[in-house]
Amino acid sequence: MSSFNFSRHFLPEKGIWLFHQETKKFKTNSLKCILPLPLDREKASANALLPFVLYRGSADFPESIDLIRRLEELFGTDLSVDVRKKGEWQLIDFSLETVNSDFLPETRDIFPDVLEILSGVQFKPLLENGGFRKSYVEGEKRTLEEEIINLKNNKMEYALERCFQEMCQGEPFSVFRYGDPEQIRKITPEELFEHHRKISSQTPIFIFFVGNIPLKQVKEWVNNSFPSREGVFEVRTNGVIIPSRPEKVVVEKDTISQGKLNIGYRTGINRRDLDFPSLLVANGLLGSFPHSRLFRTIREEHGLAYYIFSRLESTKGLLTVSAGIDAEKFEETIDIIEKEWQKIVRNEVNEQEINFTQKALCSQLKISEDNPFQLMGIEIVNAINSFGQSRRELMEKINQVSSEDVARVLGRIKRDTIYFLKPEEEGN
Amino acid sequence: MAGLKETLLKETPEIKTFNSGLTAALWDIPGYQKKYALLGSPLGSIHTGVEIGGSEYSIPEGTAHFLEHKLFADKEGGNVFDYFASLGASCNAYTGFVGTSYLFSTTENFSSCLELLLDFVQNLYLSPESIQKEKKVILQEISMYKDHPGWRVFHNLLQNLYFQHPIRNDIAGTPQSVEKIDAEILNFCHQTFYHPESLLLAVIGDFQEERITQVIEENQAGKKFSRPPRFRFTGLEEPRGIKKKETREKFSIGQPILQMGFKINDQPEQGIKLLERDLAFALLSDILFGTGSPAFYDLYDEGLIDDGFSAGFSGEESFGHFVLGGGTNHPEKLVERVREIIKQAKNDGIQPQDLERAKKKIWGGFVAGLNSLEVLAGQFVKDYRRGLELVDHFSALERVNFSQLESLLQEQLDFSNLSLSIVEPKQWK
Repeated sequence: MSSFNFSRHFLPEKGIWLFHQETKKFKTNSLKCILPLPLDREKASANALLPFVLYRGSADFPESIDLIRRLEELFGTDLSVDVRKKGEWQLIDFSLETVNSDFLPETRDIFPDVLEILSGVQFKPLLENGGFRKSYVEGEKRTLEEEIINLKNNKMEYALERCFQEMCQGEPFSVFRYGDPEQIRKITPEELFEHHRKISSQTPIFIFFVGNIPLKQVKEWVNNSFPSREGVFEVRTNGVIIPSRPEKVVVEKDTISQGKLNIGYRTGINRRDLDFPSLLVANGLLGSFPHSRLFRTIREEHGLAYYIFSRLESTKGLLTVSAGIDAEKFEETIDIIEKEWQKIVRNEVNEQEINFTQKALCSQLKISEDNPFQLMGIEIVNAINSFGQSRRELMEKINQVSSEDVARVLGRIKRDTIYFLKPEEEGN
Repeated sequence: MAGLKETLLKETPEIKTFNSGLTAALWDIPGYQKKYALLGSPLGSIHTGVEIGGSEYSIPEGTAHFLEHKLFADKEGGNVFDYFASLGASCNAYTGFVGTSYLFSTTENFSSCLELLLDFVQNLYLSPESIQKEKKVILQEISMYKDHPGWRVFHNLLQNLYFQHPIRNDIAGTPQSVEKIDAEILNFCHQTFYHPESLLLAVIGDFQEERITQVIEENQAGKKFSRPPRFRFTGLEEPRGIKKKETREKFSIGQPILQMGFKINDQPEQGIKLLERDLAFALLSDILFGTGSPAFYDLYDEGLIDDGFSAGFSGEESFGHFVLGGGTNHPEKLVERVREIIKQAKNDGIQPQDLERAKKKIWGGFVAGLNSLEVLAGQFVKDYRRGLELVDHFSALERVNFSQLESLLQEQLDFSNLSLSIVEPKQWK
């Protein structure tokens, strides 16, 4: 087992948490710069729009094409922006990857140049008439709106999002990561700039680095590139709440040929919970691997689905089961899922299944060390959950989970919402 | 540059051919947790006919994919996924146009996993019941792709571009063609295209290479194989020109999706020429339509494209197409503008500084991809079948010149070989 673990450093004058992992393993240096914002229906659209507008042009590179071309000159440095949702956090995400100097025809390290560009994009925006450039704001509003409308193009993702919306109605989690079209349309360049000013001064920045540059050097470059900021807020993630209300069944129709079933469950367990390792094993045993119960019964035994799996949203404490099935198999599928679930709760589980699942989970954790972005992805979720356990500790805990633990955890989980996107005939 | 080549050479695999005829590439890469192996068969979805000893045999559409599914079952009705799981490994497979790949990754029990991979791919167990059950699963898979507008728009485009080449077919086949698949055809394909002489194995990770060689040797020595059949895939001929100018399909989606495709009629034969063509097209599409091109942000600001817009080439010995497009609210207008941009480029020619910048970008992207063992192994299989190796990518990239790009632009991006595929929302206009 190697010693891959980020070292964490707070840079108080900058309001930056630096997570650093030095390794010579990769051919690139990778960095993620995350601004965690509390998910809030009123602000979500402006939060989502912001990074895309910033990326269009900065004071240093007012024209989009000049910024992009500068990055291309730096051996195709990949700088990208996106907005993600983890639990009730909306994360503004700037990612970049540069080829490290061993693999360049020239020997100069291009990383400081890239950091300077990144900081410029975030903190030295292009201003016109007291706001952001209007054409950039309007262009990105349109793109973001289209992005939301196009969620419908991916039926699997759409059905899952609808399930979450129904399940968490009234909770911040039901807000889509890109906000909503109506709010987006209302945003003006001046308001967005004002929003940026607030966010920039108050929001902590999490910087994750994986690559061959030593901590001292990365720290120095970050210190040189990023502005001074004091008084950023502290990131605290709330415990998980299970609302008490009757189970919800929602069936909607769409012209598709295969029905998309999603079942949402409340686990009551988040990453910091002592039962979290048991939940990981329970979910794995139930449905996240090809050896899992659901794949074996629904697909292999009954041939009801090509895809069937379960997954966790570990910050919000949700578990979902997703499957693509024929419309008339709706009840039968739910029935089998429930039967398998109850069997596990009754501890009708063999050692072998537990063992396979433990191995698979540990293998996933180890393998994450082979991909810089996966490593950073896991560390981001840990960071917003103030979860400091190392992969090695988590693996040890996973290996201690028994079938009784799995039964106990699944027995406590509450089925909350069944959402089915059902095929309808053309013309109906 | 010399230093770079040395660095890359360190990562060149050792290639061995075993007595059974199996060729393997063994790659020791220190520091990685994952150990990975990929076993490739040359049978892909475009292979619908084969000639053996003067006789021609036809293969139903979707057979390569069906066979891939069936190899995962074993004699006792057990499941290969479970065996891998018991070793702490995970396995998968995918069928492409020109081949099928079986793979696993693991952090432990590598030798056992490797034997398991060789065993399950080299042994086909069929029963009438299991074939019937698999048909149900495959029909669900076909159904799933039917709901995928991004896949439909591409599939429709291929149907327009090609008259008869089987790249027109869905990888999984159709419900009718899947119905025709039986034990006889599956056994025939397995014996022909999964003979060790046809398979290619790539093994990559942090391990002692000696032992791996021995494992493969012993595994292969314990099996009997018939004489390798000499085969040639047939039915890959394709007339010049395109079958259809345009297809539209209604879909329950938010915004139309447009794909414009140029069929590329001239197919190079040598591997290095195929690679140079891939690279030249990558450079050309980047210069014309990449995010650093003037066209990209013009189209973006005109409200015709978003950041999902892309352009790229895909081609092998028997086919080639250059496709561009994405989501758009104004498909007709976007088509018109793209035609203008290409016309303009044909008049103005390509700028040297643009070519240099595009080369740097493609270099960086390629190197970043090599962080992944999967990419390294997949690239090896593709290169090996073309008679190439990894370093060829860098020398070819340096070599690709102005006039190659010009000739692609002037001769291959021919508007008479342009077809459109659009999927649009049901209540659109």
